[in-house]
Amino acid sequence: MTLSTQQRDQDSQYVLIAKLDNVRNVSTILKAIHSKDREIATVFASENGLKVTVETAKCIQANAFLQSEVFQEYRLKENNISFQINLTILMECLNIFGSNTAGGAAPALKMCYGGYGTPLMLLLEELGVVTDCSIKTLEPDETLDFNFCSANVVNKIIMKSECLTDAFQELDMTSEVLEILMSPDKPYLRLSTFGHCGTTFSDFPKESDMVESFQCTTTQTNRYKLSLIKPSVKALSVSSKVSMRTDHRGFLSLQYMIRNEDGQVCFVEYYCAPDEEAEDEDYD
Amino acid sequence: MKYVILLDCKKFRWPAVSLLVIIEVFGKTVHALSRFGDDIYLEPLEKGLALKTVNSSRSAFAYVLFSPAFFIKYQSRSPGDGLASGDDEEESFRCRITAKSCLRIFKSPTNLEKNVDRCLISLDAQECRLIFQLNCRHGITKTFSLTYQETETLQAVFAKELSPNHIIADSRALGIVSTSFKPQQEEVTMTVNPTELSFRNYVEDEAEPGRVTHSELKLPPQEFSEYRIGVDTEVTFCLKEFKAILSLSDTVRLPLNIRFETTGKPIVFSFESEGSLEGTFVLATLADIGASQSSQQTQPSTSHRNISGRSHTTKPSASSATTGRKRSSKNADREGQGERSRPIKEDVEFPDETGWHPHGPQEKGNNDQPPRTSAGSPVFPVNSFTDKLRLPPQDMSAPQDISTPQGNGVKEAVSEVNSTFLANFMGDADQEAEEHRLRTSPIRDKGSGAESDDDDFDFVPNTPPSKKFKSMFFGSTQSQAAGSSRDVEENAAELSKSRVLAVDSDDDDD
Amino acid sequence: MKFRAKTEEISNIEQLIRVCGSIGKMTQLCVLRISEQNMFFILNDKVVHGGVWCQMNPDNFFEEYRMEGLSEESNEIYLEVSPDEIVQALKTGTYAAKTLKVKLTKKSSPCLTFEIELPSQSGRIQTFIHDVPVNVLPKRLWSDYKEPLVPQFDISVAMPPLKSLKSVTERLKNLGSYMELSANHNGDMRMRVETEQATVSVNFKDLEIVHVDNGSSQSQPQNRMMGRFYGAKVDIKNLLMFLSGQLVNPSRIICNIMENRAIHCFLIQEDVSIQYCMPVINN
Repeated sequence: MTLSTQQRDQDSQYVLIAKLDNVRNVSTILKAIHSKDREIATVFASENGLKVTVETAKCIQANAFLQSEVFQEYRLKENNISFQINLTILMECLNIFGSNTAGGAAPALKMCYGGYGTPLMLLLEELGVVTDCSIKTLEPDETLDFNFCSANVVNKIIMKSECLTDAFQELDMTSEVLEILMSPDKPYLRLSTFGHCGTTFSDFPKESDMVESFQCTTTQTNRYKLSLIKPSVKALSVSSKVSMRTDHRGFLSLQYMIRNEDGQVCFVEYYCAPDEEAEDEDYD
Repeated sequence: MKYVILLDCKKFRWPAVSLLVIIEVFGKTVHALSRFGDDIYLEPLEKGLALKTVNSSRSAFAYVLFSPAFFIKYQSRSPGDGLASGDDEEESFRCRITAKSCLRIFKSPTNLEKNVDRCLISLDAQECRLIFQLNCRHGITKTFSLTYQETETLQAVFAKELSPNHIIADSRALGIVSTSFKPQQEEVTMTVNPTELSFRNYVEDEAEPGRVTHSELKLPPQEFSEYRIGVDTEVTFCLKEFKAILSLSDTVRLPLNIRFETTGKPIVFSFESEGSLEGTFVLATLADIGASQSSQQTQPSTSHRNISGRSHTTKPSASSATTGRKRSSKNADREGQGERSRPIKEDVEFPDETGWHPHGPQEKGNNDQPPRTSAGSPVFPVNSFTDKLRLPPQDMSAPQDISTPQGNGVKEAVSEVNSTFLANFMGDADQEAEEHRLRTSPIRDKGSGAESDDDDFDFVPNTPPSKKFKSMFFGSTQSQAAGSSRDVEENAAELSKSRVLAVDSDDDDD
Repeated sequence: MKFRAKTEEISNIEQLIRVCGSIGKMTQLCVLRISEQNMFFILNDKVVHGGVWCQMNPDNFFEEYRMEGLSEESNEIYLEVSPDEIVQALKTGTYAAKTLKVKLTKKSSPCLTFEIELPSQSGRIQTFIHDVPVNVLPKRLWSDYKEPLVPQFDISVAMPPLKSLKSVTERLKNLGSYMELSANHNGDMRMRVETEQATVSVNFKDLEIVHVDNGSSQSQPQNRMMGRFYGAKVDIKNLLMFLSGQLVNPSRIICNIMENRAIHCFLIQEDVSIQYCMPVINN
């Protein structure tokens, strides 16, 4: 009795408490936005759930959405809590019992945050072994607003992730950019790279059984920095479907649908600004 | 011109029983070749598509020919060219692409079968691109448009038909060789006599030779469907390339022919499936040529490679080197096969019963030659491309010697593979100088046209081959009259024994 | 000096590979001590790698085992060997070897010769011979490789299953370089990593407390506070080297801790035991 009251007392000091029976439901989603060259993530907590954002070079942004339903318990004392955290460390802690997927008992997670300036506390338990983690948090920076609204979308393709994964894995990394062509006419969707040894492109016909929806109105060719967009292959490999959209400015939105082990659907989204010389200067 | 080659991922009934998948074979060939060299040479010929490569030190050459029957469609020239005369075939297009770029296409050969239905290889000469188009599952098309460099043909000179030693191994009989040596092992020594074949890891003198494990695999001749040993010998060659050969012959399930002569002369591996595929691989073997000049130059540290060396390496001295030579020659007299002695280390004493084993470190049973005292390092040196192209002038000035049956009747012996090379080689003597000049420029980009006089000056035909690799890719089959243009006498001895294993030769194109 | 051993069991060869592989994880070079009753792999290095003492009963590995030491009084052989080289030599034997013979031979230098007979593709015998060079240690150096004295530890605890221990340690290595390993008499064991960015502590509970009777008359003090943790700081890499050895199913791993002075792990499998004394970081 005393223990539980004690715990309740402890809990009362936190502004955010989230509990989860299967830590992999969180770690899989976060893995989809994690890459070694962008370690710092911004976490936003609202009553809808958690949104975790990472940005690279002011031109690409990855967001993972963990809606409150993903958690068995999700309590928020204040609205709109945000902090920054080192995602690499968070991932290591979440996977402390090994990242082996599927099968076997998954560790349970309790995550607590006490507010501005306090560390993020994690409590993981697997088969009676308990791990306490305390991870330093930082003051949140403002994140970019790509101002990408569906009203301005000119081309949109929904396809199974599987086929795009192959193409992404095989991208010629000696190329500076990835060129994406979307068009109502042939070749419909073409990914091209321009590497040291030549040009490579993959064509995806709209009739392919991999393509679920094809709504392209304008032929558009845009280039994106390959090294920045390449890490999104992690999201591809865990997702089942991807929606690829471009707006009138050539901004790219990649939305990945990820089904977790409990059958819930989560989303990860990448926004990417096109690589244009003129704009480059603006950004720098 | 436009060449069109279609590879279909149909199951292909191989004459040698097993079912193979074409694209997988093609992909694995690319993989094997990429383990040899950095570049792959492509030659669409009338008799098929030839893939070739040579390693950076020019000590290993690979050639695989896919005959037209291998493809569902094979057209080695564009229909419009159809009227060109047969002679022009020799002038056909040749190009070189980096192995890396080619590997990207055939990344995982075993998956290719699952994912790829068809592969189209074509040439866009206007854009200077070689195009591989893969039709994959789900209607996806992958197109690899590779930049290439136009190039001379790549040929190796060797005499496989007359080799006194001929072994035919089932594709798997030698599999254990691939897996049993350490991954970092660079060379193996193969020793043959009529009763036994053995492989040893080749160990060079190092700071601590006593820390190196010596391994030996002994195989009974009955393992091989053909085992003809005319000359007891041992040959040392690169393990990495050998493994690539073994793995490819295993993929295509074809027996591997091994032909060789003796220490220092190239060893030739080949397989052939009538009418669809043939492969020929030539590896230089470490030479034990006792070139006195080179021993003078490299005397200090490595001259006593033939001593097992544990106790003597720290202070190389002329006397230890001499001892080594004596020992080695003595052993050579005994045919060197099983009776080598090794210097005994003083600080530990063993009674004789501890199980002496005669097989020891690598003393070459080197016929009649003083032990090799040259650059010593068995690591095939890496040379700049141009260096390798400096042909010995004798070759140029006395081409007729090639057919002189000194040792081998090279002319007859040269396999089909060499024919182009020989044709060049034995061609119009007036052209030799010009040809040589051209050879010195290995890469002939389209349109890079005439070479400057400076180039010419840099590569005087008389330039002697760089010594450090003479033992690597110059075999020693021929004795040729010293060229009249010899200017460096000290090279005469080695050159008289040297022959190029792999050269870029140029077609007599205008 | 003579030494000769032979086995026809492929499982013995595999087990030998696992033992030597485990030792090889921890050191490039160690001493193989051969006596009539036992074989030992010994590493005596307190500072960098720590001390390793691996004892195996040859009867469990060889059907034939004969040795003759330096002399009748000193009937032992001490060889400096590279465990990785031995593993490499033995690996040939995993292709369905018929026999493995190990013997001490004298080539240009003293060698352990591994002679392995394998069936070939056509069912004939092919022979693989590996001469692994060794250094024979003179008797005056033998005393450097005595069995380590087991001091009085503050606590001895049976560690959790190797597999979970290993995966946790691997993760912790990514979080920091050093770990404090501690345990108390309630059967709790803690692995704790503290860095500027994070503090992570993995808590195992309900572990068995082992009462080591190392002959000292001092009885286990009963008055020890049950909850007090005794620990020492170690380099995670060292612990991982020990854990990632190839002995996959040890029946027990005992961890002995002497507060801030020593961590001593004892891995026991049917036919072999490995003791590892980890260097402790003091600061």
